[in-house]
Amino acid sequence: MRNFPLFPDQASSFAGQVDTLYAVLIGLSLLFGGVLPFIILFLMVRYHRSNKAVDRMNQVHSNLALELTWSGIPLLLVMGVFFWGAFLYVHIRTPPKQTLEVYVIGKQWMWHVQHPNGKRENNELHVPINRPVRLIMTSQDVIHSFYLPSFRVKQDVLPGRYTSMWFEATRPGEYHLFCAEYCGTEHSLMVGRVVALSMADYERWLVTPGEVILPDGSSGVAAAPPVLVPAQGDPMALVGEQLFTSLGCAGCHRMDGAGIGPSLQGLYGSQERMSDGSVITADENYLRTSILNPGAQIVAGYQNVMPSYAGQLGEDQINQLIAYIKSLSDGGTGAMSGGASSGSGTSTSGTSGGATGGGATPSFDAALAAQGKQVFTNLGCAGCHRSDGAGIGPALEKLYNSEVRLADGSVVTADEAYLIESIRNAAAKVVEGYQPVMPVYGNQISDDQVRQLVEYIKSLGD
Amino acid sequence: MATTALPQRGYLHDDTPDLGEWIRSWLFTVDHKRIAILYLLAINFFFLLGGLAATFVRIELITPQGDLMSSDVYNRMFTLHGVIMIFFFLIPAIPAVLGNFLMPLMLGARDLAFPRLNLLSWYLYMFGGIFALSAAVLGGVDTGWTFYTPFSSTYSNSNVILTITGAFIMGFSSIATAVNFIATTHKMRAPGLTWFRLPLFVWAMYATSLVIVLATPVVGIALLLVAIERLWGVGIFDPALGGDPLLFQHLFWFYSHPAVYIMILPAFGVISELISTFSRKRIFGYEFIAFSSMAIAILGFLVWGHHMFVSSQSVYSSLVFSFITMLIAIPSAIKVFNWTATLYKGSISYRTPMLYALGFIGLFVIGGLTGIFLGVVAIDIHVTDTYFVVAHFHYVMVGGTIMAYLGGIHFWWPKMTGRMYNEIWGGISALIIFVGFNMTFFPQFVLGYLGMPRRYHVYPEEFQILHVLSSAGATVLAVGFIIPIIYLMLSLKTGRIAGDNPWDATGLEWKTTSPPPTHNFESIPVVTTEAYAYPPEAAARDAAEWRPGSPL
Repeated sequence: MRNFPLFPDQASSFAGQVDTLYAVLIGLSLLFGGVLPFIILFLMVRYHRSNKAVDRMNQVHSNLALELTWSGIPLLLVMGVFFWGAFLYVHIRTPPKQTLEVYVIGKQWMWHVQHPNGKRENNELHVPINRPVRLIMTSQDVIHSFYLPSFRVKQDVLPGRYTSMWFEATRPGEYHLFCAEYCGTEHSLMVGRVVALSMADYERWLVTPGEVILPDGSSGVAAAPPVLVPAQGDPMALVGEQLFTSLGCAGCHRMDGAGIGPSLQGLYGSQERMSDGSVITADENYLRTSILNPGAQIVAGYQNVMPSYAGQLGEDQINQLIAYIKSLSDGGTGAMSGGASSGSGTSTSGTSGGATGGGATPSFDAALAAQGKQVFTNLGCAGCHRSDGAGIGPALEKLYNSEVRLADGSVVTADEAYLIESIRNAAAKVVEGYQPVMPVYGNQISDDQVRQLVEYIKSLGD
Repeated sequence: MATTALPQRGYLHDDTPDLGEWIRSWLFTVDHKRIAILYLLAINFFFLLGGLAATFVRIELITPQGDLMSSDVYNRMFTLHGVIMIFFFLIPAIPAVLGNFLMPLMLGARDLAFPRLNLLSWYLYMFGGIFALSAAVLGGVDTGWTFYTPFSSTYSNSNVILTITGAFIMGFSSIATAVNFIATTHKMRAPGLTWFRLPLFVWAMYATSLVIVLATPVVGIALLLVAIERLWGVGIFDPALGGDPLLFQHLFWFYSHPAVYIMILPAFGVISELISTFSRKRIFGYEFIAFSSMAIAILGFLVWGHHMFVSSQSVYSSLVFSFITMLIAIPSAIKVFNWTATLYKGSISYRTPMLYALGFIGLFVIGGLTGIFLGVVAIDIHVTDTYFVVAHFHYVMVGGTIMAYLGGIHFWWPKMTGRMYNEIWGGISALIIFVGFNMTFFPQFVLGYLGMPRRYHVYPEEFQILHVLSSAGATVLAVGFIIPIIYLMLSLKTGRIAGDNPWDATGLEWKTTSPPPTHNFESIPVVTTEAYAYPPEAAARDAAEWRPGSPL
């Protein structure tokens, strides 16, 4: 057992300010709570019934001046305390422009942290000193609360939205990290430490490899054995970009603004006008909602055509997508170069379902089809043409050579000519039940690429 | 000290020797005094049960490891403690026991306005209690008394629905009692008993009843919605189902903050009676005390957001809630100052109820002042959901409500039973409770500011000294609570006959016999004076008549 402290460590720029206000409050409390008991004790003894010597006549039963005095003085004092506390509170809740952003995911019963360079950690948070750090936090299940007593900061972490808080560590050292909102069985074990390091140590730490357990991303599913992954992954924005590509977001959200979805270039932090006329700031919560529930807030001038990704992305992946979108803005930290880096498309989209194509049918060129699949992924076609038929574009499985009923009632055979026309000029022949929302690729893709795409679609069966 | 017979016509008296008849005469009684006794027994049973759960919690916390029980058992223990103490002890304690017994007596009425509704409220209370108890017996509930979603609605594997049903039913019992009090206060005051001649206890009960009627339905709805989401997966609070987890907190605290005033306002009323009686003079600033109760009742509805400063509520709403919270400090301060001023030029006696009243003021001042700390958002961010909050609300709830409840029980014990309790043991236990309470909960303020989160089964070693101190204090506190049970029970057999007015107090309840007859008064009294109409020379005469050997 160590010494017997009455105050916790002061390890952030807030700590001293909060403690000063606390000390003043204690002082004011002693003025009342310390003095009043002695007045009561004095009266108790002086006016005890056994004391016959005191004068008990001419009692007073009310006195307006006295009442106003002992209402007015406390009122002035609490107002003073209120305004002091209010200004400090606004300061605590207002992050500076340039912050180091760290993503935190809470789940029963651990904290998972990912830094912008991709470094992950569990139940620990490494931060540099003398640099404002902003935590962007969400929960995978119930409400948690991220509490750093030595920093005097606490913020509830809610499922289904981001909450954030910021602080600036001032002293290197290890400090407690607690979950402060009761979250079930192992609530008291959902603890860890925050490690404040000098900038040099912090940068060294950032590139140190290690292993962590990923938050599983699924909710409510029976516990799977934990999977160890390298702590040192690709930068979040890069992984986010790969996701952006493989999910096919790029097909609609074209950077030049010509897509059927708004361009995401410079979106983060800007003021966006919605179709209902309201203007909102595109913060993390807006981006999150727009990915998971796109119909909730439609940007003015666009249609409600984006499919919802709710349930298809882990919190982890949503963080990475948002990190990427933020990197497209000047305000975003660690901005990635906007290059397409199509060579990184190694991750196969879970929704393309390309592997189902019959391998024995020689009716298509396998080499071209494989290239076509790559083009299909890179262009983001899979985002709308989902293999399960739930996309905003029709499924392409077994499309080739089938009879297709069009929106005008006519029936065409989906031969090569039809496929080529649909890629080049999508609006020409729209399938019944679908909207003319697919971008016109016109001459933006080469004849070779069209050839490859057609072979790929043929490979999906006829 | 001869133990002569009590008056035969008291409400406790039964003519029939038949046991079945006797049981029926209690369980089907519509006499507000008998119902108060039924409540007294039931509520004290729940108090002991809640105290037992707290005992296990404090024993577990002596060591930093989780060694006495598993996390799940620990979580069920503090939840049981919270649910029982809040819903089945603190909320009904003073209104249902003392209020039921005293409201008609103080108003000069023969009973409450709706005697059968009153009996129904007791059955509802018991029914709710059985649900909550069966939840505990069938495996317990682990959500904390706050039932935060989506943990309670989706994730918890415990008996959430049974417990919620218990609290839900108990809410109707509160409402029934409150409606009864409001109607009785309005319509059944004795001739001449104008509003400003009412005892301050009645004012406090009236303010409490308004809060109960307006706030309780909201928590009923909130709890019902949790059950609906839990049973049928309707997305209300769980974002995975499309709900909003904060909605629950808004609904819950819209009731549960006023509920704090449901617990403390009746205590204010009791203290006003005690201070006046044992100073032998009129209370200072009657109107200010009366209206401060009403001000607290109204402002209490506008501060629920101060429970949600770190919940991601907007900065602006936090500031508004913080501001209104600060304002509540004023009516609370007014009461404390007026009580203190009442002592001046009084003739003060240290009888047990007065010791509780003085203890109340000391503890409530600490509880109230730390409430200001928590109302300042910048401080609250650090100390919310830590032991600082735990200490604060125990100072208000235990230091306030329980001290007043015990003071009131001692004060009106002679009226309720016709006999006096043992004054020496009374004084000793009041002092033990005061010391034990401070030992238990003062260290928790320090723990909280150091950062110890609440509801932790396992905690870092550096907090152990303070936890051991707190648990040691809890032992003292437990002894202090057990002693009164013993001597109060004994007094039923051996206590000195009290007589109609052992304290020489004003108030209509002291004008009838002890215990009062079934219909309270031989004839309805006519009131011609204000409350606390002690003659100007009462204090001086009381001191003059004091001889060595008279009660202190």
